[in-house]
Amino acid sequence: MLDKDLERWLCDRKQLLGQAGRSKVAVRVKFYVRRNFRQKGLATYIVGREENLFRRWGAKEIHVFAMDLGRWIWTREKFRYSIPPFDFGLMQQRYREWQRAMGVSNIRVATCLSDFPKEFLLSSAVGTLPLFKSL
Amino acid sequence: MTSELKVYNQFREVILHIRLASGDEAGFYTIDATDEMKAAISNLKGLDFDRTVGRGNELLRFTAKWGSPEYARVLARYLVNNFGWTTKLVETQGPSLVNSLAASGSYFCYYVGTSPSLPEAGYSLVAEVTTEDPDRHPSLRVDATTTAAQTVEMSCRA
Repeated sequence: MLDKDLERWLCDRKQLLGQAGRSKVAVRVKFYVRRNFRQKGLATYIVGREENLFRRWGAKEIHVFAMDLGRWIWTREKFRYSIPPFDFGLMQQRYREWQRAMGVSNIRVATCLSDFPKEFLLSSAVGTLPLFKSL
Repeated sequence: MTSELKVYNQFREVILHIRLASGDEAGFYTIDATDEMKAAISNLKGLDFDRTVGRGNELLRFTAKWGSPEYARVLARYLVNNFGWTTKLVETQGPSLVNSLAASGSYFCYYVGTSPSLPEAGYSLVAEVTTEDPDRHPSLRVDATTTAAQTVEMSCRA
């Protein structure tokens, strides 16, 4: 079902993204589902179970390096991830530039993570989105 | 050490221009920035930097302690690698190894971020060491393209 091995890290003292300081953090690194198995609820099924496990391990936050299709999937509201304010500001800047390059005359301003359209998130305008969730 | 970082977008416009100080009086001053970049950068104050960028099967991690001399360099490399912006970083006090070469003179180190499409994604460094005595060698100039740490080593060999 997976294109690459599922990869997760548990870091003892990683910089927290939702607040100042360091603590134990679980990191979702790779989760590549094969095309035939996409949109069948696999992520939703695994995510909840993983989070219970991360809590038991004492993680204060979960971090995601959202890449490729993940930039669209993990930013959906149902997964309840947030983006650090620093990275959100950079994304707003990049979104403005992306619209300009596309010749959009009425430039839209994104006020929250879900305001970024799919075309922008899946474009090459941005590499990796750092997302987090407090446990 | 004080660093001045300029970030340019794809239209070659300056979107961020800040001065960063390292050490006991660490902090930064925004000289010019778009509203988005000004808001973004204000959230960095006092925090260690830690971001990871995926490139193919590789993960590039950018970490720096708040107030450390390498903070500006790491931040610049992250902006280049993850957003495709171009950066220009001028350090008013260079690495100690370059400093020793310029014992009786002045010098500056000049870093220019490379395009993220380059596989090495390193930095170009021009280290210019100028003596104050006109009868001695007027200057030593080194050009190199590699990572910042390696560049320092190369400039000393030269």
